[in-house]
Parts: sequence; C-alpha cells; structure tokens
Amino acid sequence: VLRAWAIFGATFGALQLVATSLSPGARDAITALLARATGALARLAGTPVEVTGSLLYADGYGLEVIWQCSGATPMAVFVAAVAAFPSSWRAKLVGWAIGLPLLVVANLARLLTLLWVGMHHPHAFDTMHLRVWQPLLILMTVVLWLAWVTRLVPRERTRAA
Amino acid sequence: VSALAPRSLLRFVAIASVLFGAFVLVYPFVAPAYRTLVRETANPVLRMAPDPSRVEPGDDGGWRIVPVSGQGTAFSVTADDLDLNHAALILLPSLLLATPGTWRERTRRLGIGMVALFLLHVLSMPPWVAALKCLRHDPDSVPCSYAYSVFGAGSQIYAFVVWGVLTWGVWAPGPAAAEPGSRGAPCPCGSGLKYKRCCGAGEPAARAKAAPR
Repeated sequence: VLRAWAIFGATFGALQLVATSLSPGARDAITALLARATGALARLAGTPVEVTGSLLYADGYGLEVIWQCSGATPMAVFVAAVAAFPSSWRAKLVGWAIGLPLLVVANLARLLTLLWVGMHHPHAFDTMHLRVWQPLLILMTVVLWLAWVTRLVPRERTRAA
Repeated sequence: VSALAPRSLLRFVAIASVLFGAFVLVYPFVAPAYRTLVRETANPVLRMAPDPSRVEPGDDGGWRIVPVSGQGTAFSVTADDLDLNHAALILLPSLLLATPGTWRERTRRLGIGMVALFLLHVLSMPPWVAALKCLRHDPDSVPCSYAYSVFGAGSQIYAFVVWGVLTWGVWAPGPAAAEPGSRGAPCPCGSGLKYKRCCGAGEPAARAKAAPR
C-alpha cells in the first residue's frame, strides 16, 4: 500500500511540475485549442459562438478558457492513480488510452455547459464553475479509475494466469 | 474481493451521484462554519511560519490575510477562491458513503475522512498563503505556481487521496487473492512479474523448501 501511494505521489507531483513549468505560449496554445473545440461543439448545438484565442463570445456573453480549465489536474490524478495500482503495464496503457480521452471529453462538456449557464443563468455560473464542476471532474476521474480497476485489471489478471 | 464485482461499481456511481447532488445543495450552509473553523485553527499554525500572517474574516465570505510582522501588505482572498479549496467538502463524503461496506464501516470512514480533510486544509494553509504572497510579487514564478496548484486550487485531490487511503482495501487485491500456484507463476496482482519477485519477495526460504520438486 505504501509503495502504491509513493508511486501516486511521485507521479502526480512530477506531472504537476511539468504542467506548472509549461511556457505561457504552450499554455495559450492548449487553452486556444480547447476554446476552438468548445466553440465548434456549441455551433453544432445551434449556438452561434465567436472564438478569439482562448475567448468565447456568444450572445453578448464572454467566457475565457484559462489554464485551470484545461482539466490537467484530473488527468494527472488519473494517470498517477493508474500508475500506482498493482497491475500489468499492458493494463495501465489501455487504461490511459481509454481514460484520458474520456476526461478530455468530460472537460469539454464542462466548458460547454459553463458557456450555456453563463449565457442563460449568469447568477448560477459561480456555483456551477466552482462547486459543481470542480469536484465533479474528480468524481468522474474516480469512476473511470474504478471502472478500470473492476473491469479491465481482473481481465488482464485472468489472461496472465 | 467481492466488492470488485461490476454491479458494485454501478451501485457506487449511483449512490455517489445522488449524494454529490445533495451535498452541492448543503455546501453553502456548511461552508461558512467550516471556513471559520479552518481559519481559527490555522491562525496559530500561520503564526509559526517563517513569514507569519494572520487570517481574518473578509468581505462577502472571503478572507483577509494580514502580515503579523508589519512588513508587506494585507490582501484579500474571495469566497470564490476559497470554494476552489473547500469544494472537497462536497466530494469526499459522497465518495466515502458510496464505497461498499457496512453502515458502521461507512460511518467510521466518514468520521476519519472528514477529520483528515480538515487537518489537510489547516496544514496546507502556510504553504498556500506563502504561495499567494509570492504570486502577488511574481505571477510567473514556477515554484510558487506549483505550491499554489498543490496546496490551493488543486486541493480537490485531498478528497481523492483521503478516500483512496481509507478504502484501498476495498478495491485493491488482498493477501488472500495473492496466493499463487508456484513461485515461478505470474504474480496475481497483475504486475507481469513472477510471484517470487513481486508479492512473494519477502518469503523466499520457507516457500522454496516447501515447494515440491
């Protein structure tokens, strides 16, 4: 157990360090990409959105995608939790390959709903942003990790035996 | 090991989601009292820090951080900033109560978990305040951004860590599951290593003698 938590702490700490050390240009590129993806999804849903850099404008409302909105922390938690759980490298690679894209999708859903809430219910924006989506993304990370632990890891163990 | 059944996962997700919704509604009523408790408990700890400070109630539920030495300037932290730190209050009880176990076990985990979360919030105050002070002077400082991400806005992971430590035995393979047919067989933990190099690394002599030739 101690070994697992040491691996978790070291991996999470290292990933956070990498994320913190990214240059402002790299961060801006990532947030601009997220803004473009959110804008495209909003347009698909029928909302005309204008995207400038990492800023989204829709119906007189503006939303800026900042680095903290990139979902980097939940992803670092997921990578570290998968790395720490006793399992084969194959199981870990499959877990990362499936889990990380799903977390990106969950984060885009967060940005999309925040844009919608900001446009239509601005008084509820802070609650949705800080009290719902922040912990909800970690809850989704936990569920993804548990799905990997309960479904994929036992299958890999059976195959190895 | 029975907790690893897929049905347990679905039950976990259902219970955690319902509780999460309930705690989101309860949070605004609980958060002010929790913040007061954290603030008053953390003040003696902050006074012992290398650059001592004092936290006072601020405007609209926020905090005002005042340097004790008289050097430097006081600054405010909004209630929204504090929500980033304290929204783990919503997540942790949802996770702990949804994890399989008897109600007695769940209640025990909840009690220990909430005390652990409170202590983490109190003990993370000195590095968090130091990071805030530093970022006011140098917003691009990597060490200060790192400290802020770990001890401040990133403290959502406290809920994950406390839950993980308290419920590890529910999800991880126990010693009974890690008993192999022979020392050369793959370790049941799934690491890909042989049992003698993984789970059985601490018992070479006894098992080697006992193993049939």
